[in-house]
Amino acid sequence: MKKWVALFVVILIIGTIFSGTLAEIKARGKLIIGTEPTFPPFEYVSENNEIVGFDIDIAQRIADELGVKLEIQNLPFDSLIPALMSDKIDLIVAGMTITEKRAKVIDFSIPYFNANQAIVVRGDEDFKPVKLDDLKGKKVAVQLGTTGDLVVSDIKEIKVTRFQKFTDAFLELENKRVDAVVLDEAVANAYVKTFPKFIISAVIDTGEKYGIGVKKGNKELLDFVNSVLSNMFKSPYDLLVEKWFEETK
Amino acid sequence: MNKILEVKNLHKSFGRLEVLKGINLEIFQGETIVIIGPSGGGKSTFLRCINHLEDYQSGEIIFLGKKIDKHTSNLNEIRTKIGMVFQHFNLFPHMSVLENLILAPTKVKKISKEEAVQKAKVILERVGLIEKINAYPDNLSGGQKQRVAIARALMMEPVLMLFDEPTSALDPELVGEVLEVMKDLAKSGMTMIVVTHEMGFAKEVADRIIFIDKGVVAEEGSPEEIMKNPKNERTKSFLRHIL
Amino acid sequence: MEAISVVITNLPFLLLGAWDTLKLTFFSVLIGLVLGTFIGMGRLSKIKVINIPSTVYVEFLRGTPLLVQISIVYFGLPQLGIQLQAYPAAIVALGLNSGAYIAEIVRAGIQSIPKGQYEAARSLGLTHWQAMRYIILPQAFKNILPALGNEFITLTKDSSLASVIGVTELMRRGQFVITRTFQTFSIYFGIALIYFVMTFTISRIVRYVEKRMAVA
Repeated sequence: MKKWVALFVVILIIGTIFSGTLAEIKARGKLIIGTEPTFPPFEYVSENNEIVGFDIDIAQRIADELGVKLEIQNLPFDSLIPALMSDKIDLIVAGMTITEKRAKVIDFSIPYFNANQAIVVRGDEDFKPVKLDDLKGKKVAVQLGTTGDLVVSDIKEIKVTRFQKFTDAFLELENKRVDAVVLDEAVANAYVKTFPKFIISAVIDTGEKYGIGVKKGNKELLDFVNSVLSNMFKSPYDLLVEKWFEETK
Repeated sequence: MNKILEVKNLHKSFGRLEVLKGINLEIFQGETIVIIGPSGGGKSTFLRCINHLEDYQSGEIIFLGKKIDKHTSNLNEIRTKIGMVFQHFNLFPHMSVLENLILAPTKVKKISKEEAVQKAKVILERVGLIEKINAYPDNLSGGQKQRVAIARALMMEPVLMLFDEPTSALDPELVGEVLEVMKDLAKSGMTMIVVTHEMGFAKEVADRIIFIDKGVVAEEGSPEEIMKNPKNERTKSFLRHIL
Repeated sequence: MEAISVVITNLPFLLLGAWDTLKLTFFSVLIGLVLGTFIGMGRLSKIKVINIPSTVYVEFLRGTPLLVQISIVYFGLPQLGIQLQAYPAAIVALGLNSGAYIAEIVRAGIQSIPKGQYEAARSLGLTHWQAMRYIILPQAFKNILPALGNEFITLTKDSSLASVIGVTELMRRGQFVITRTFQTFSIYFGIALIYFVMTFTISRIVRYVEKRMAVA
């Protein structure tokens, strides 16, 4: 019994190290980000068992600027916001679309990617929608909580089936239980390349954008993330301009 | 003579059913008392009250000068001094004969295992089952089981032994071997209370016979008195049935 | 066949997940067994302050979804200042949950032992706890071994729910492979096969132990 009690206490102590102001992250020596690594090419598990992707490189850049190590906590997409709110992670870097609803419970960084949506259909059929309205009266599969889910759910006439994994949505399309899949363009491209029997019939600019999630009220960390992002957006030319003209102002 | 047990005006009910309606009894060192009576008359319940397997509503049970009731704090210690043998043996089936015998001495009395094993061998010798020391209860006959159960009780060196119909569950041909052990025990000076229908045993061993019926002691006396010349009508008819 | 080769090449990766699943299940069952034994006895206690909490515990944990329980332990406890990492949180949640089910199994097991066994033990001077420990529980466990084996198997499968808090057990690793290879069907099938091999092995082991105990 004593051993168990001791183990429990140790777990508690390890646990309480978390909760992420900038100073605490530095003191702890690592930045903990949460992501759902089933969203290539933004984040996925490579053949070397590492979580890699576009988002991970961004997160690595933030960690580097902080001078700390990057730790990646993998979580299902809908567990990310609860994890951030309960101090399990410092940031959400997961191709998460900035929405009003989410912005009520967490803060978002400046946008870092345009979440264009692709409509994917079976290549051997005549149905080739070119805009979202073409999907009216059709069955569409999406990944739960993604931008694709948001945009098709806005149109009442579309029958939406939601899946935890976009691969399951494609399985549904292959099994002909739905007529189309709507998902992020980058992800769709990767999939269609592997399975040419599916084609992207249209890419829609939804105006939705990805942002990095920060715990509400953690302004210090949010500002830091924003500064890293905006520096990344600058070209070497921008940096030169800044160096030689703006600083001398 | 040394008084071992005194029961005064014992009342016991199960819910609204009153099973014992004022039992009185005294037993002195070395005595063997046989309790007889029709089933459902409260004999077993009476026995189970003595070592407090059953609580009771009123009256007194005084064992070696100390009261046994639900407030008795050293009940477990007292129970080590009162051995009990059950109708259905209640041997522990997951333990060998030896383990059955040494469990309570080592765990309750905290004597060493070596000492307990030595003692077990002596007692098994006495009940004639030394060759079964490593057997499991399932591989014993009913008579052997009951002899092991008696041996198990003896391991605690009890002051008083309670037998609750020890031969009722046995095939007739196995009754004798158990009664032999009990007679032997009685002759060695053990104080015993035996609930049984074995009148032959009662006649030979009992100092007193008590006839319990409808929750009271209906008649009490020496085997001679009770068996040859019962005063109570119910005793008469009961004896006529079982003899 | 690409579908098969995808499973084979990713087998080491998946088997690591299976190993995590087994560890998760093992430790959860261990906690459940300790907890379930005491709560099972508590359910049979005549003392109200023991009996009532035990009953409430069992009813509550059996009456709420495991998924919710896992989420409460991982996301909810930090509100009370208790931060658990995903893996310990999953073990705690699964252990608490199986404790409730095992308590009911243990209760039935204790009730299956004839009353005379307990009485014989007490008549020899053993305390309630000694009677439980040396006489009742050993026999009860022999009787409930098949039911415990079932619980072990159920928990092996239910442990896949720990993926919601990011525990990289078999199911979660399967999802990772799927999003890398897009071979949805064959990976799911491979995972199912691995789960089956695990549960089948467990049920064989339980049966073996059962037989050995039956001889003793």
